[in-house]
Amino acid sequence: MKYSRILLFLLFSSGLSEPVLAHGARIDYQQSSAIVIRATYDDGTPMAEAQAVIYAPNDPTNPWLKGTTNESGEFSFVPDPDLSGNWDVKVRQAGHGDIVSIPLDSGAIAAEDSTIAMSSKASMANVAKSSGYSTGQKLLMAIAGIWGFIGTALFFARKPNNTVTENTHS
Amino acid sequence: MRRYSWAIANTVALLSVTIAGCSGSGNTTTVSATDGQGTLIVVANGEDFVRQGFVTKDDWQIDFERVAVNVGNITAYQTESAFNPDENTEINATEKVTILDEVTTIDLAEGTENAEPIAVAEINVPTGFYNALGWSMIPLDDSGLSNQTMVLQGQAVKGDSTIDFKLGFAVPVQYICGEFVGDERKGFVNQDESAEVEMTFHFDHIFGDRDTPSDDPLNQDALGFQPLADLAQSGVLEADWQTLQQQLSPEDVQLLTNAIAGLGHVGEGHCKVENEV
Repeated sequence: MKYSRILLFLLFSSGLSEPVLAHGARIDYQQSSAIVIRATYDDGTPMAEAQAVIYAPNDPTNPWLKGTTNESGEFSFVPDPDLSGNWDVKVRQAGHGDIVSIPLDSGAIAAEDSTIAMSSKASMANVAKSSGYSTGQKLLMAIAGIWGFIGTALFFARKPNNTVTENTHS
Repeated sequence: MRRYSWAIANTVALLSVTIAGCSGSGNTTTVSATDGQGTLIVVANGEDFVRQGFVTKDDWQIDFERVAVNVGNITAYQTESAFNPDENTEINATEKVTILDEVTTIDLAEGTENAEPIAVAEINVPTGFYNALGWSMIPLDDSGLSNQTMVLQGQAVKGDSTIDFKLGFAVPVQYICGEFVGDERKGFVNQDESAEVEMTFHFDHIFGDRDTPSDDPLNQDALGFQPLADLAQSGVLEADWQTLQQQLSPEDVQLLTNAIAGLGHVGEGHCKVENEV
């Protein structure tokens, strides 16, 4: 029989580098941890180019992320640390498939899961975008909202003679 | 001009927040166990191999008229995380429901070639996600299958040869399976709604599949149809399990026994096999 199975690896980015500044360019970074799964058949053959589907704990019926494993049967994703619970990973290929649950508690993989191994060099080539908002994104949205209200209030509180002056110069 | 810049900037800021808020909503449909009830339906699926026919690894075109199977002891489970039949010896269930504790005979070939899976039983259950399933194939003398677990009836064609076959297998098996694996997830029971779990039968495990490479484990472990065709007389093959055990080689009997035990799946997900029921 040919069975499929999924192994899990936890990938940490180093996060040691500082932001780089040169000629006005700026690169920001955010330290994150990724989960790398490796899907193989029971004889060890990688499930290469297989369909990988990720389900978040808050919505187990709709895919949070879809992608394809690489030649080694690996697929990586960065879970939203705000969503604790089971992240379910499904891998399918040619009539074979498997599902595994990855318990995530407050941004960390639960230590009792014995199938998780550590890896420092897994490929991130197949990582697709996350549909969740990071803390930075939420902060940016809040600032934009506040700025919008302040700006609107200032717009309606403007003095009429300023308007005449601006129109004259334009 | 500055006035318009202010207005545009403010409009963009407000719009961006509005869009972000809208896009972030409406995508949470968490299903969790409550005191409510819904309906859980168990279906049986022989897939297109049974409904539409197929070509075996040894080039026999198989078309089924009847694929009768005795199934029973159907139990669904809720577990906190996905149950892996390879690694978990027992199901640590937070909820366990018996869907069918009797034995019933189903015909997987029932209906047209595009028929839906066969509804076997349904029951009111507590809401939640039923992500593990167990069932058995059981021989019963009074089931109409003459103490067999399964009867396959149909026609096999290869070149100028045509064989009308009726084969009985008596291999009792108990399956313990994880979650259904397919295009969609199954087993989420919401209050006052229904959901399905599926017993899937992969008949290519018995006969092999010409569309799969010959060195694939699926075909390597399959009996094919030729050893059975060799037992036919005047284009007719009618044999129960006892007859097959006597007339096939011991190696082929073992191959066939293992293949029958490997029939049970949940979609594309495989099951752990407990041999004797």
